[in-house]
Amino acid sequence: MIKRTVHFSFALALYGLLIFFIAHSYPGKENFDLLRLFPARNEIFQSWLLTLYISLSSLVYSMIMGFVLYLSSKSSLLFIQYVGRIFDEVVFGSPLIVFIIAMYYFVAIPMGISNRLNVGILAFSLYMAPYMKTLLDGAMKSIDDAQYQAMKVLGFSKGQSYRYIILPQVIKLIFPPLIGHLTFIIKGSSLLSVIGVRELYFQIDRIQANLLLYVEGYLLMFITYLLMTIPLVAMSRWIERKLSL
Amino acid sequence: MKIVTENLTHIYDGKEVIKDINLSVEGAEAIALIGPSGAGKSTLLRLLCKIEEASVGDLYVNDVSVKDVEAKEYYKKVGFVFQSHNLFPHLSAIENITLVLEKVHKYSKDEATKKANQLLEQFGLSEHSHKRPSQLSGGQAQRVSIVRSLAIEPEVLFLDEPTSALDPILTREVLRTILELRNQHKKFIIVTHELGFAKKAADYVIYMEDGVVIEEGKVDILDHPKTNKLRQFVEYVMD
Repeated sequence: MIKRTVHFSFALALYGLLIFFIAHSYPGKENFDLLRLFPARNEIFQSWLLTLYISLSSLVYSMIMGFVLYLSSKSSLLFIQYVGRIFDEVVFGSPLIVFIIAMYYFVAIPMGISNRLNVGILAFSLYMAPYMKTLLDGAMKSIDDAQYQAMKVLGFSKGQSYRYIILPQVIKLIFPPLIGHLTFIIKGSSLLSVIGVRELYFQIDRIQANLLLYVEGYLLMFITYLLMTIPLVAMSRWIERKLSL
Repeated sequence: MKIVTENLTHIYDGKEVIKDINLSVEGAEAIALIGPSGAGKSTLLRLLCKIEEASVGDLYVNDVSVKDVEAKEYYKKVGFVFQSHNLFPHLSAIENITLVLEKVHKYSKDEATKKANQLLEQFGLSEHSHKRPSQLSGGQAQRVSIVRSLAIEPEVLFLDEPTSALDPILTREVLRTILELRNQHKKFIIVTHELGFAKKAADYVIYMEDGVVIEEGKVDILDHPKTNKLRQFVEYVMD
């Protein structure tokens, strides 16, 4: 444990040195002042909350859509299976930014949907749905036939089997990777700025352009995203360790 | 216990694994299904327990038509122990038992816990009640699985080679538990390769080969086989 702490401290120190070197050699360092962004704190905080809202909403909706996709892959109708599989392939083959733009210009505008935030959440949720389906599929496969046979001969109904035996195991299995997906969504949410959603990246980008504080703005952006993602990654690892006990 | 099969045939993957079996066993407390691998013993057991549906023919357990009875109702009356323990890995030993009692058999939480504790104590498993299956030895897990099946007080307990996945020491541990069932006059049918054990635990023996019942009768047939096939099998196994 002590050995790990020492090594971790050395690694941190190395990054500290790197930051110091960059800061020291930066030509405009005399004018650097992060506090000059302070007057815009409310707008930044609001956009930070909006990013969280977008991320959590997208996570929930993508789980629901992923479950629907999972069910479609198990459908007895081949047609339904193909509908799901084609959607999977489209998503897996598209960059997120292209998917968001396509959703906005080719789906939302022709359908008269003007709320960019809702379009953004919908696009993100649809994009993440096949990934959620894959996650769910892997977790469901981890429950072996022997358990299904035991559920049957012990007299559990289908509903009871899912509620008391299958889902508790599946949830435990998907929880750590689900947090991984949430961090991906948080990072990817910055791409919603391309359709004008006023999330964190969009707002700081606008503020830094108005105040001509580009370096401070990008640094703040960096820090605020890391403040959201690093605790989540740590939490995911902690949960994984706890569940494996 | 009463077991009757009429022209029972079962086809699996295009192959006849049970061939026109006609059985009528009445009054036996413990039946041992014996025979070489691939004889159809486990299949017959799974048909009797309605895990698989017979292709042709009828079968009755205590005058209940296994073909016609609703699965959910049937599983309230019979228990099944698999080759591997098949315990639910996210639940402790005691939770594996209480969950069935509470959710399927509608016991209250207190009643279920009391009954599970009683059985675990009776079978010397009290100290393991809060352990997960991964923390139990193979023998302990299989014994918990037997207790789980017994907790519902089944009319008949089906045991499908419950020691096949265990080493000789753990096998003895589980066989002792099954002998305990015999002493308590529980009714069971067991598929086993352990002839010495079958002699001690069963009062009726059915010998099968290649999907057919070759010989059946009181447990004495193991000492005095009437057919050459059973004699050769006994000599080979006991050798």
